[in-house]
Amino acid sequence: MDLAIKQTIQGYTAVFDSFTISDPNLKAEIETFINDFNAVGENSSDIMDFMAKFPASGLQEKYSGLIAKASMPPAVATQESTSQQEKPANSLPTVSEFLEQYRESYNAVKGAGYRTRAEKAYENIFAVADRTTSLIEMNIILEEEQLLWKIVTEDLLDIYQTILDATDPLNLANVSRFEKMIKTISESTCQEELSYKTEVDVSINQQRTYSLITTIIIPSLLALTIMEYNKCKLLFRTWQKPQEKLLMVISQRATVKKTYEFIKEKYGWDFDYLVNDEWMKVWLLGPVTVDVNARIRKSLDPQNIEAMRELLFDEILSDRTIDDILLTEQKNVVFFDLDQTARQALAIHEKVAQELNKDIVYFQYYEKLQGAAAANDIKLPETDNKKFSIS
Amino acid sequence: MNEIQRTIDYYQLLIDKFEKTGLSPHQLKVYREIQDLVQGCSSYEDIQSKMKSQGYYESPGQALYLDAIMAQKNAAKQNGFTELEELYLARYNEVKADGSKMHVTGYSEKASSILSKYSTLMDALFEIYINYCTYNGANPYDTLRYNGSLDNIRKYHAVFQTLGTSFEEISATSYYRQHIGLEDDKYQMFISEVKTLLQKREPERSEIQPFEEELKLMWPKLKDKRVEVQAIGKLEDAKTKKSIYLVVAPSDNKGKYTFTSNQQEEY
Repeated sequence: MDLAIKQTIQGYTAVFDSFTISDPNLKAEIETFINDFNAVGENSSDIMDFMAKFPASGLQEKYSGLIAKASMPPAVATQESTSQQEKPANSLPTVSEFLEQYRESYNAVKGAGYRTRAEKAYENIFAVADRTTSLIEMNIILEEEQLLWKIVTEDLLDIYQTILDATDPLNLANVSRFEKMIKTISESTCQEELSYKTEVDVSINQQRTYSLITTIIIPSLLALTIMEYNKCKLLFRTWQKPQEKLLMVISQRATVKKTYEFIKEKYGWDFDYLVNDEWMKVWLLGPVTVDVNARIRKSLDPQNIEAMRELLFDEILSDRTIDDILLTEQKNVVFFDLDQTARQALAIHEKVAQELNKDIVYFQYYEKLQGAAAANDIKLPETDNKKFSIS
Repeated sequence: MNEIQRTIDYYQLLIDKFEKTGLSPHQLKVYREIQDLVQGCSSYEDIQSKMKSQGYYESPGQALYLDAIMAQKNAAKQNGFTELEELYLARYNEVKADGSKMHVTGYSEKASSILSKYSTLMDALFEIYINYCTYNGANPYDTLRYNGSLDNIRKYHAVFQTLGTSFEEISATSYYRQHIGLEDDKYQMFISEVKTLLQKREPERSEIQPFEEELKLMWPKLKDKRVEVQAIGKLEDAKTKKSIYLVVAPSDNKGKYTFTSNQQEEY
């Protein structure tokens, strides 16, 4: 197909994305239209030929009608479709028959398992049939109680609330991000309001997330430099090129001092601040995500916090000379990461994590949530956590 | 109550909704007009006929589109995205003047391109900050981290010019600045220090010389102490382990992390 034709077709059909269309019959009509539209495009030699065939094929008028239907209230749309089919006035659908068009979508939601709010939203729609037999009264109830709008919002809340419930509550950037989105969705009454507020929220949330990352690299950086200092001491003891290794102990001690001063100057934090902050403390221990939501992570032994404290205050920042340091036994020693059995340990940890997470809805329906999140352009936390590391 | 009146009541609900948010002025106008039209009708057929002849089959769709563009334009303005705001405004004016332009493509690709540019600029500023921190935690003899972080600062600094702006302009723009978690005065120090670091490629002699001098003092005191040094090592090795834990998040933000499932390996 000619590129200009393709782009023109895309321009026309993209307008349907502006509407929330729940009616499966209308969706089917639109799909048929798009297929016929593409067929005309395929059979046109160039854009001029296409623009001549478009009205001649009847598709232009069909397009106007579909756009009008997509934006009309349900009962008027029903009137239009029935009059196009040349049915007599007394063959209008009943309220119950009309609302049955949402049954297919409801069944899809029910099958997902975690979409309980959306299920309820659809059930509230079906319940309107018990409240009135008049199509116009049905329209009024649907609009007054925002029952059709709630199909959109309750579905989004099913996704966001599920993610929030599975989020580490100490990860304040993620928690506040999802809490804000839930508030925005709950309070929005129309698509423009949701769009505007969501766009603003996304921007603020991104700022918060990046700002958080620029702070959590600090404990990681300090831990890295202290552990490197410890490593330099161990290498010196091997007595392989000892002068060279001693130079590394000396220079790395100075590096840790410089890093610690940098942290205190730029952030006003000291070691105790980092250790006493529950969220920051874990970042001193080189955490690595085990489950997909970083609710459970692997870390070095927490004994390392006392080892780092001793190295920092009793050696690095002290007035002691290097020879005194290297000839004195540490009370608290560093515990290292696994090596030979790392893979087996990971397998054990993944199994334990799975067991710990088994009652959390997010993990029960993770794959379905991934699909739903992608369809709604929602970024799941695990894609953000890739930035949470420094090496 | 007759069905025409209830149809009028229905459109009043839409009008009330759009009046309340103030974010859908075009739909508000259209539904007010449709309500007026319905008030003059006697049947649904009459409604449909008049809506079709007076263009009210197309206008709700166009109104929805214009309101959607305005929502995006206002969000761009709130976020400080001037270029994006201008794009949405131009698009709005184009479609308002000629409704058929709704179907003309190209605008959404331009919007994506602008957002991609913002993202690239943000990433460049962020990477400069990460490498600035890396530099401040790097041993001068560790050329990978020390020299490497300086090279990266230069590399990401160059990105701004390729996108028609500068480090000074972007770092001073509120939207980008808010991504760096420093107090204002410390943020200004970071900006100032980066400008100095752009000229630096490796450690200065003054950074390394003190280490070499200390080595000259310390080595004579240690060179005959191999046995003692290694004995200390053996005592510490006897205490050390290879040991990891699982860290499990608490159930609420008042709780503490739980360290569980300890796995160990012989050291």
